[in-house]
Amino acid sequence: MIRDAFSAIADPTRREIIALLSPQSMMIREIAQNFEGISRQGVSKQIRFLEEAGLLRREKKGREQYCHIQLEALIEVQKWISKYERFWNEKLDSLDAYLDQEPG
Amino acid sequence: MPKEIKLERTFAHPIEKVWEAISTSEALAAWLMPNDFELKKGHKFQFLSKPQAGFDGTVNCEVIDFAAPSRLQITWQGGPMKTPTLITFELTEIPQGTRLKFTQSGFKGFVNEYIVRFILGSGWKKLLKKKLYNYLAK
Repeated sequence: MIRDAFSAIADPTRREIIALLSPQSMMIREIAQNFEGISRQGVSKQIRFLEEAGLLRREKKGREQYCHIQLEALIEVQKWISKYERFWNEKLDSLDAYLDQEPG
Repeated sequence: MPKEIKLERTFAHPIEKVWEAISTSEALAAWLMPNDFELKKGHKFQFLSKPQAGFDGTVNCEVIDFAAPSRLQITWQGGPMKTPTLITFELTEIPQGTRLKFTQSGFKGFVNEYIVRFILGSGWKKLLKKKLYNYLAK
């Protein structure tokens, strides 16, 4: 079976894992706690699938393993937020110029 | 992934003058964008600019709270945002004039929205289409 992003997001459990990990990285056992009907082993299997598909990265910190999400979409969002930061920097320059030219 | 934007500036002007520049429609139009802002809690207003790629030029806002002349908080929802972000202007008097702290937060909702849309929406459909097309072309 091909493990790519396409097949990774086809499964509802894996989609839920992606959603769980999108705001923050989590330990595997924390992820497993969110799935009642699925064994920890089953969740681990899905995590491995996501990892092989390149959507998830594991990091060892001491004895714990942390999972980070790696979505292309996140890169786009990041680009978008830094675009906004540039926007406000320019606008605050304009505010500075406006204040300098206004009397009083 | 940055969760918020934080900027700081110092202006060589008294706090009342800076406050006026961020809390009147006319001044905001001069340095930011044309708008129908009013300094009233709960007032809904818009900033309008030229449409660009991926942005229709309209930003929907609401005055959440303010305390003249030091604090103004508005929501900001523009471009592809489905949930509003929160913008806070904080002014402090300093010997050199006025310090402005600008914060835009609440991108989390937007980030989640984006991912959900990517998974359930066009990103995923496009991927599927391309895959299918490549498969059929073989």
